[in-house]
Amino acid sequence: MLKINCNEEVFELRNTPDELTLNEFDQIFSIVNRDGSDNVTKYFDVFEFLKVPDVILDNLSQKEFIEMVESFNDYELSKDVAGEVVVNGRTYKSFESDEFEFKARDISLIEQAQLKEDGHFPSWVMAILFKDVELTNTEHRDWSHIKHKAEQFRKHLTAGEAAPFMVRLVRRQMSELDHATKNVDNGIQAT
Amino acid sequence: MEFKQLSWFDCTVGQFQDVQDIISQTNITPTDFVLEVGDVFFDLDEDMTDSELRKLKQSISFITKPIICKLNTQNLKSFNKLSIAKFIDLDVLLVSNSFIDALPKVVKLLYDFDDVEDVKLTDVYKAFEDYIKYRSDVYKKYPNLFDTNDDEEEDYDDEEEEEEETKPLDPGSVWMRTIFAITQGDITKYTHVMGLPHILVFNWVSLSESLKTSKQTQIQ
Repeated sequence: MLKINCNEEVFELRNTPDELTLNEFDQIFSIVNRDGSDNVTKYFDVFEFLKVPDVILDNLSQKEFIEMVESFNDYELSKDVAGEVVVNGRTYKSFESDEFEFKARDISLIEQAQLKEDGHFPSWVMAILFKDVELTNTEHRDWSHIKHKAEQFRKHLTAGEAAPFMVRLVRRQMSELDHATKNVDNGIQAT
Repeated sequence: MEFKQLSWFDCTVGQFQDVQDIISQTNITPTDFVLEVGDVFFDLDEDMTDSELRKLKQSISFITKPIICKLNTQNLKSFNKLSIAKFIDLDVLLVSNSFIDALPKVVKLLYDFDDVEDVKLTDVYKAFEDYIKYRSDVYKKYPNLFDTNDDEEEDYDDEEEEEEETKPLDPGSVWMRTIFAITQGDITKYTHVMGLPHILVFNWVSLSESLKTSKQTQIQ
């Protein structure tokens, strides 16, 4: 939690993943990954979304703004992904084996969720990755069930649970891109 | 799960059609595409992992490559010896079907197969390609019989708009009219004419057309 002093009042800005709900993380993720805005605008939007008073935002010097962004991003992010979460008495698991690995059919669903562009990508990802232990694979991959789960997760989970999965997902996408570029390069060399 | 590296030589005609159907889908995500194509060739595990997905992707990468294979002449009918009936059947199939849908139907006629679904694609694909080229060459050889001018539409003017509204004849009816003209409407000649080699029929009709044209020139 950041403490910002302004006119002898202290504003508390939640910045660590555990302090943000999954729903808030959805919104911040959406702002940060929005096309067509510069980073300064994006961070102002994030701070406004987290209800930083205008009196603070309007009077920030360039130096203070940079310090605020740096402090906002200065937190420890766990590298470990959660294997299990309990929401409303139901148990959901993201993997059963020793180590987490994305499942091909989940990746396919995540790609479909990405196309929704509804500002809730992280919660869709969490709803896809966490399986209700009492349901079958077919039930787990049913979109109406995923939608219900995403809504529940938004209310009850935090960014702390979602962020490590998002990091892995982005890393996977970068590696896919790298792989595809190498394939194109090899193809060009072969011709 | 392990996936062996596949090539077009491992693909049947039925699988080729399934793959082409998947390729033609527009609202499909990259991973869905790999899984659907993978499903055509393998019994995929529901819980397949990301690393297995990579292996699968590699295994089916052949679908991005051109189909290069030799002509299988076993049981293949010589194109230039096809009867006019067979030529018409093939022509109607090629005109009324997409390239992919026409493939099994044309191959069935060219090789006299009962069922072509499980036939290896590389055993028949070259014949299909060659036949399309052969048909096109035949069309070019008889310009007075086949109108191959693709620019015709551009010549349409406003007066011809009414004609556009009339439904064009299906390819089968066009050929029926041709056969009717050759037999001069005599149904007793139909079976005989349909069994004649198509080249002979085209030569005959072409000659008849030329004679008609030269007669008209003389009268003028």
